[in-house]
Amino acid sequence: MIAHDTLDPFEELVTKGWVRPPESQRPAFPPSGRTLRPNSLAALVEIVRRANHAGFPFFFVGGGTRLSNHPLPVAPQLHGQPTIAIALDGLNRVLEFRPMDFTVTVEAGIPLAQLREQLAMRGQTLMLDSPHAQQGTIGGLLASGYAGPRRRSLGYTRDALLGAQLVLADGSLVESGGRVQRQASGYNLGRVMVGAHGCLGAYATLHLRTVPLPETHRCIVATLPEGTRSRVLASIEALPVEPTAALLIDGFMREIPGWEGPDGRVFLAFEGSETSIARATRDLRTALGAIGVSETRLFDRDAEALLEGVINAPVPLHHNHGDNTATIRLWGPPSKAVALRNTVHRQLGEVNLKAETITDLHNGDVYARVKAFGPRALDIAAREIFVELAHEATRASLLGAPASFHDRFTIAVNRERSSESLVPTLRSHFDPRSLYAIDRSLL
Amino acid sequence: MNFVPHRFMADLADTDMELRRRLVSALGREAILDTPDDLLAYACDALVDAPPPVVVVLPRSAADVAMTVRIAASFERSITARGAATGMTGGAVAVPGGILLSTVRMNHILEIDPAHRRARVQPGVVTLDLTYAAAPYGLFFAPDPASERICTIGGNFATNAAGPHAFAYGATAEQVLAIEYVDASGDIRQSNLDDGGIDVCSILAGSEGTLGIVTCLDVRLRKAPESICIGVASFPDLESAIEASTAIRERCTAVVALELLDELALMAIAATSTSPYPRNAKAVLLIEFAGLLEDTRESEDRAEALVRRYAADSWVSTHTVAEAQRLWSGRHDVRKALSRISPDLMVCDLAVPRSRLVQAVRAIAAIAKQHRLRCSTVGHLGDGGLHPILLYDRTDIDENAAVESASNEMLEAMLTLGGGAGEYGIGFTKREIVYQQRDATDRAALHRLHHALDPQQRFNPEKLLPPRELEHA
Repeated sequence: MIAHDTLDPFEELVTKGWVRPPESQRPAFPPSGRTLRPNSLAALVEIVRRANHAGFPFFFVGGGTRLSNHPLPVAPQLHGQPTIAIALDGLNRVLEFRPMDFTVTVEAGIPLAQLREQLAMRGQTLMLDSPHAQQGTIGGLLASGYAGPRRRSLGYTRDALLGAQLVLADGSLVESGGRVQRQASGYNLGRVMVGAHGCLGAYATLHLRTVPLPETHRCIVATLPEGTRSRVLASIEALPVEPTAALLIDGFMREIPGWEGPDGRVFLAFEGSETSIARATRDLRTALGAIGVSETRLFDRDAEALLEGVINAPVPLHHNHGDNTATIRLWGPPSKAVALRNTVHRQLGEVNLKAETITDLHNGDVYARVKAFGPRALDIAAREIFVELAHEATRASLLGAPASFHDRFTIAVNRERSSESLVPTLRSHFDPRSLYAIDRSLL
Repeated sequence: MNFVPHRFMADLADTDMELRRRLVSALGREAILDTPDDLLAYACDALVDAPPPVVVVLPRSAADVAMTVRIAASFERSITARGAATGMTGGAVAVPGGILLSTVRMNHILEIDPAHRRARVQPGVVTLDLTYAAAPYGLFFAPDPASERICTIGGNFATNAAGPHAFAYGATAEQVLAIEYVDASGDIRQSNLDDGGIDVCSILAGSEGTLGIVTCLDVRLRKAPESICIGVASFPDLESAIEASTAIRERCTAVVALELLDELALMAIAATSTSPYPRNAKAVLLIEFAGLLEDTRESEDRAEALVRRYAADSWVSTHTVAEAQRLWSGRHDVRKALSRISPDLMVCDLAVPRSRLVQAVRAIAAIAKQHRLRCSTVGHLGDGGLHPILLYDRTDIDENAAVESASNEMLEAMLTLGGGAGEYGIGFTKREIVYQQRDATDRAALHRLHHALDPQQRFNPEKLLPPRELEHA
């Protein structure tokens, strides 16, 4: 094993220009450690090989959008060496776009927004939701397994992935899955690594399924007068044109436009032909008017940006609300989403904290943000309630909170996840030396 | 076609009786089949003949499956899980001495949750039955392989089956959101996509039962469209039909199925009954639009203009259910029609990038011609799925050999074009060709996954991948 203090295994790569200097505007991960940014697939493979040979624990970073608010991955065995962050945002090219095949091959470090722009020029897109799509990479999105508000309509993140080139812990480059739309039998290792947070390998290149760009997007925000909420939700469910996202919003006034009613607001996103969206609008307004909801605002030209803003709103890119704000995401069945949202407001209200919530009516997620007058007040009042709420949900994660929340939360909420038992087994085969520093949520 | 396993465990007979006794004792007599006649009925799939299993187990629950896996482990026997065995690659037949586990009695739809657009089903549920059950809620289950009237959702999941509407709605893997399965230790596990972390559904989807046995699935249901329109265009040649399909795929937003029938298929359909398609057509494109009435009408108009631009000889379309069923009937019954003009059929299942469809159908025709075989090609043009159907007589030894060679060459040709095997599985018969396309590093990674989940190669051995000891030989 090469001792870190006597020989830098990466120095030669830096000298050869295979590794880019870190960008000044981006944070380094780990802050006091070393971040390596390979500028080619060959460089990535070589970095991993050398890290493996030298016994350096390492982890992969995409756009860094998740790590901004989360504890850094940890190395189960430190090997006496510092943990290295391998930033993949330098691998950001579109390698092959085949519009006729509805497929695209990209390097995993490309941000979703950048890829969408290129696909849109040929009338196609990726049906993926991502917080902070301008910065977050597609590889990171897949590794995190993020599931957004359009998943009931458009599918989960994994569904876009046809195949991938993967870098395993020993530096081997593996091709798995395929490049054609029609995928059949066989092990698809790329999909195995969706949601694995890079603990089994890194995405190097991705073969993705594209879809035709919808002709039109429209977002509709309706203000709910008192006592209308339940009838509004029932009428949305009965619409002939299904919205691709349906959210009940309380608060988030700064990020999401539209007047707040006594029963909050509903936010609906529609995508499709002009005729279908005209029909959807007409049907919705008729249904809401009959209930007594007269105020609806339509967003057309900026509809996509607005939807992106709604997805971003509860996921702070940096914890920039000050230390006196905390946000949690709770998962549950859609039939219990409104009840879960009510519990959030009641429990936080009991300690005189006002919650802001976004409730995903299609999928059951509840995002709750709470702000106190000071960090200590937040810590005392909300921390334990967050832990209690997490136990009421089927799953929970912190999206932005003071460090004290993370410690308490991880210990209290990290109950066994269904796939938990497989992680050590798979890791023992794909990373036998335990070199991947892994996300705490997988520990 | 015969399945000749690598591992022949000739000395197992002494323990067979004890194995059967243990299974009867654990699961009850009604859950076990062990007479020679019964076992023979389970010695094949839709195409491949194999030696009979040593015993057939008919579990009713996950606990029964788990018990079977534990007993199999104690006797060092393999288990092959099987749905309706409609596959054609030997994926659902056991190795000698192996146990065959049929999900035929695990056939209950446990729950339909309309608000969540989900259903919870056992693996033996027949695919079309779920759509029938969901219909009163205004919902449907999207995968619709040709055998949907008899195949099972568990089998669809194992092979990641698709069907004509897969390009619009996804294949089976994309519909499965949570599973319960029995692992190699005989433990019952659950995995839910919404739990985050590693997605076990994606690991087991398409694994042909080699990594675990699925005992329950939560699947997506979709809202039934307000309107469905079927259009049929006839063309002077296959190439024109394929080019028209590309234009329709790109410009008609409501398109959900694009089916191709070639001249031989059309002749066979015309010979058997009243054909819904034009006489003397060289190729037919059957197109389905679904969605709001306004959308289907708009796409219908656009499609008509497009097919005429690509030299269509005729165009008919309908919004009525009865007429739509009539237009689909020819496509659905194509195998039945071909079987009336040929004693035997070999249906191949291939996939290519859409941009290579023209080259693919030419390569298929050339291979069939080279082997002096009649071949009809039908396909799902939405996503590049092709089904060459070879007509032959299985009593003719030369034709038998020609069909086997031709089907393998067709798969190799598709691999060269960037495609591969389709939804009928890889199983045993396509294993070597697909495997050899991977380099050593890729193969090693696949074996790592296999070894991680099934270290003793207990589940459906010799399918998908060659046995591991061969890899290291």
